[in-house]
Amino acid sequence: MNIDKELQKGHFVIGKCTKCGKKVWPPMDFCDECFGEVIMEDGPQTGRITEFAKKENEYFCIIEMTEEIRIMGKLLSGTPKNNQLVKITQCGIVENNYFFEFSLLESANM
Amino acid sequence: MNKVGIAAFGLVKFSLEDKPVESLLLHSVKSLFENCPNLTKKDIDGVLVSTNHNSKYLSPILSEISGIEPKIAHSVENLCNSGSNAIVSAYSYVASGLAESVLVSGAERYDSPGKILEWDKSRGEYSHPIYWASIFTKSYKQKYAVKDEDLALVSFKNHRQSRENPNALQSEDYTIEDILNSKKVTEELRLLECSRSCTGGAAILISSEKKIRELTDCPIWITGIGQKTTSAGFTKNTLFSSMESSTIAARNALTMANCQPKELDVIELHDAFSVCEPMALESIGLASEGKGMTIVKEGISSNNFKINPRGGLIGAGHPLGATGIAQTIEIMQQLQHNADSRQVDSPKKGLIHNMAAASTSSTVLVLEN
Ligand SMILES: [Zn+2]
Repeated sequence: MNIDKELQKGHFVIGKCTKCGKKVWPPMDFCDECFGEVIMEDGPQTGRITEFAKKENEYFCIIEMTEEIRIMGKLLSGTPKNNQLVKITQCGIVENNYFFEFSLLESANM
Repeated sequence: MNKVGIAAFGLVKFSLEDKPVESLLLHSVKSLFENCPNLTKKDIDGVLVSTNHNSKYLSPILSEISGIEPKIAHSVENLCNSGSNAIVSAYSYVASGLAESVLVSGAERYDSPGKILEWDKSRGEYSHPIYWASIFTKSYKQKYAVKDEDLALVSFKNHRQSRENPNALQSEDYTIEDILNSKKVTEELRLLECSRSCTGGAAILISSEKKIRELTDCPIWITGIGQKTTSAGFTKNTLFSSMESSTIAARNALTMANCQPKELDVIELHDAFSVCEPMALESIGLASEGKGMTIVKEGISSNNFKINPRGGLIGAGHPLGATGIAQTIEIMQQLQHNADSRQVDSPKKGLIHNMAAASTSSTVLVLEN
């Protein structure tokens, strides 16, 4: 299980339990529900904003994807609203920290 | 269960000084011995150290440099509520009969590594606490139509109260305008609404009833303990306008103490950021959802020190591993009618709320005289 290697390549991956099928985030060796073995799979590419705030001219958001997987990242442009649909446009690792960047999906009218 | 209480305390003034953590721990213990003339080193069965500092083996080190040879010696680390966790551990040793007296010493340096939880990668680049606090503030303000001017009152009150606390980091008196005009760290948070990491130390002696009667004429009893951890990662939180772990911990502590929220006379709560104060008051059950600011406003208009008498984390400073212990010492002094110009009227029951990492973990203690 090396999520860092994948993220370094800009590839958003999550864990999936081989026993009960639960998506596990952040991915660890075993499932937090049944201790089944966890394998990596491609993560979802979209999510909904559950909350956001702003620093200087930049919005940062928590987004929720399938099965309550939530991450925090930067909104590249536009003005967010809660429950709005976003796409993960970039992710990676800088200075030992993960980063995620989102953009609003225009089709996502509430 | 055996009755357990607090026999003595020691404090090291909060500052921005560059001091070794071992020195801060030792100063807190020296202060405790000075405050408790009947105490001998042989009375101490356990030494617990509460800190986020990276040094190893600090309890045995503190024991050696204090000339104590305890049965039990180890550290307790749980980010910002390390202190109250160490007190609960000490309580457990005494209540079980494994120890008669446990010395708990907490210390932190201004440059503590405990501000950032590296493991929580889900926060992405937003690892600093100001980001979860901004999310909490945005959510709380929007849900309950609370304004910046309202939340600034928390900082106004706590800075003002900290001026009566000789151990506080700063003693500035800020106006609401000063607070609102202070540097915006984010759109939601101003610098004067944030607690500041600082250097400080605090020590407390947790003892059995028998031992306490030998050591002090004003014993303070720990009658309620509640703890809850809901997760480690901030993004596991589903609500940002209330603090689930604090609500559960408070309920459990009050149940154990057989106490109603309205019976509480004095409260130390974890105002890491201004919004945490109304949220904690709601968690404790003193106000309904979204109404916590009513109590803050009452405190200001009546000039009573019931909530955060020593100035809270915002006014007094936040030496992480020492904070929960310093909060407990304040309630102890209040219940002993020993809090000088911060004294509230004849308190009988007090509560301490200490939490960590966006309220993913909370500890609540109830004390009585
Ligand atoms: Zn599973």
